Amino acid sequence: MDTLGRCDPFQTGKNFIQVIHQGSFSKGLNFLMEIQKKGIVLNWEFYTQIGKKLERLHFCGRTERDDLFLIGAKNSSDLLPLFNKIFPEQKKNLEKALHDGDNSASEQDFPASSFQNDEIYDQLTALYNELANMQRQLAKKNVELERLSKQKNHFLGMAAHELRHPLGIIHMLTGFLQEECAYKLEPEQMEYLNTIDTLSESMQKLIDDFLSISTIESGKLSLKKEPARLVEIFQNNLSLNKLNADRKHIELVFCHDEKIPVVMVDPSKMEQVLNNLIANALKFSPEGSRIEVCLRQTGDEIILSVKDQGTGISPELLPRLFDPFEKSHSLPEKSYQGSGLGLAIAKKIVESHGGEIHAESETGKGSTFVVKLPVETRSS
Amino acid sequence: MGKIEAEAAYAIEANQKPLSEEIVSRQYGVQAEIWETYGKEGREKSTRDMEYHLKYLIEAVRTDDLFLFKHYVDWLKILFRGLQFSDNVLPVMLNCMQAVLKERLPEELSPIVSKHMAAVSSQLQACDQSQTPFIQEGHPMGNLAKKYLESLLAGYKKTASRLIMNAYHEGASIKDIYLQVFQPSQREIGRLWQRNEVSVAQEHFASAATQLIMSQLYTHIFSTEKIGLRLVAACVSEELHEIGIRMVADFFELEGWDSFYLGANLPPSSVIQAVIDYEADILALSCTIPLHQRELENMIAKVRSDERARDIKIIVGGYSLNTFGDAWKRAGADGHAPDAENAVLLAERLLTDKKS
Repeated sequence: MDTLGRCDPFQTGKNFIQVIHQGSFSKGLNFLMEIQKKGIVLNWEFYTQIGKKLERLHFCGRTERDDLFLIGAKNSSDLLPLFNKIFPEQKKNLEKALHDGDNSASEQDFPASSFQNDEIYDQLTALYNELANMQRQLAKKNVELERLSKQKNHFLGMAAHELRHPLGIIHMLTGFLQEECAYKLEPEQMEYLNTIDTLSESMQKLIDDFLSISTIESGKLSLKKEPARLVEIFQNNLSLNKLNADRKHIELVFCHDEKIPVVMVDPSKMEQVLNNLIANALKFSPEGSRIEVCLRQTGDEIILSVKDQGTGISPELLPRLFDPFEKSHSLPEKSYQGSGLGLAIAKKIVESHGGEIHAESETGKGSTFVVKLPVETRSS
Repeated sequence: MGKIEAEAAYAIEANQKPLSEEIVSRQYGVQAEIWETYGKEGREKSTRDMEYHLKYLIEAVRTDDLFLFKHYVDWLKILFRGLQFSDNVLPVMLNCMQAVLKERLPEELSPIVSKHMAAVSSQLQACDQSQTPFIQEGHPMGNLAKKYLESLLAGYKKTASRLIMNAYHEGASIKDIYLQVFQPSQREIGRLWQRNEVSVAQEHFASAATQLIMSQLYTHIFSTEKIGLRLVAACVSEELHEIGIRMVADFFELEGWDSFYLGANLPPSSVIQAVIDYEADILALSCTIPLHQRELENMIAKVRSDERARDIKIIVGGYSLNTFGDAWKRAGADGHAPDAENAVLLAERLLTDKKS
């Protein structure tokens, strides 16, 4: 071998052909594996005797490694079985191209004794051309999809931003009226006001979710990490969520390890995660049930889990649970209100912290949402 | 191309194999001590090579281009030197060729062929035209091109890719990477192969790796806003050197064109169908090997004869058309561009002229 790892091509090729003609395909395979291991680049264009004919030999196919490329475009019928063993994918593509082409050959046709090297060469270049063109078209489609996605996010953000302000005013003024006119209005009129208040509040939440997801998907999510005591943050948050839980007669409990380290997180974003998980649990938990929020440390991970006794999630919905606008339930649409973005937002925030989130569930037996965060302290 | 030139070319083409066998036989007779060592296999290879040499002579005769066969022989001289043949191998081979053709061709056709052989003989001592490397360190991005080429020749595809992507992210334009790195690298590899300093496997690896790295730039190439113009780009039949035409297609994309790159070795029917299906404004055809000029002429003739495609503007390029100045006109193209950048300018000019 010379310094570039080149072998004498003629001798190497002769050796290779000899093992083929001895009928030992496994030896031929071993030979190729040996070449791969040594990182040899071979000149596969040479002439050698195959049967009674002198053939100009190439080898069809390539490997994807840096150190070995077997290049060629024509093949001999004698080598096809070896080719088929080593490159099953190329064989499949070639057969498909031949089946789909004008001069299609069935699998039984090759290797055929009347095999035409020029014909297969043309068909192989046609296959290669098709693949090259498909690759370009695919890349173009990807660019277009990305452009449309950016456009969508921009529209979503713009629309949410424009709606937020008037909704905020409606909610605020409704609040004033509820306070100031409590004793002046008929019960029915108060009911109307309360409905406006509830709906405007939920619309605000929806708008906030839209804004969040468009910010996240535009790549503009920025975390303001600071040293945080998660136990305190979550305790405060749960005392607020308890009001909603009490309204539905659902028990909301918090348990945690005695020592949870101070970690570097964006506290408001982690609250948003917990809020979304609890809101999700409250939606699907029946009255009288229990939601457990637990925080513990295992090794170098902090684990937050939210466990409910709700309807559970069917296996076919689990894989897409954290995708935007995906349902996590099989309830009729009218009986459920939500943007379908809460879990998607939670996932993005958790992943931005270097963590991961998943759900464990069985239909009818409740769900547990698990968030794992790396213990990133101030010094790390 | 005159009638007698066509006849002379045909006379050789129709008897290519027996003529080759006779020339080789005579050559082996004169230089037995050189050729005997290669045995029967070597002789059969020599005969096949002789058929290839004759193809160039046929093309030179057909097109009545005294420069074409001479240019091929100049190239062959360097190849033979790389194969470490002694200096008298080529002259003896050409003498045998000339003698056999004179004896075997009809008397009235012999002078047509002889003038091409005479043009070669008188120039065999001319200086080696391929000595200048295509990559020079003083050139723009010369350093990068050198490192890129070295990576490819050593078989390090990932290293080569990293060099290019780093350069792009540090501010190099895609056009500069194409023209200052990929193009000279490919040409340099061709030059080194000719001198037997790299193997054909290395050459194929480098081409395949370069194409892969080009595709890694697709996200950036295809994100230019489209201007509503369409290009169909392809190599002519038999032509496999496709990187150049692929670069052309990518340059058009960078200028907002929608390009449909068909690939290598395209039959005319496929190209015509693509022009129709994609409603192309420009058809770009590539021809690198001079032998394929006739395929180019054939393809353009077929495009022009199809009423659904006849009005399309056709631009051509490639090494053979850059080297043989009038070939593009003879082929019936609307214009010729020496590289990708000029191809876009030419296309724009042709379309502007078409409108006015």
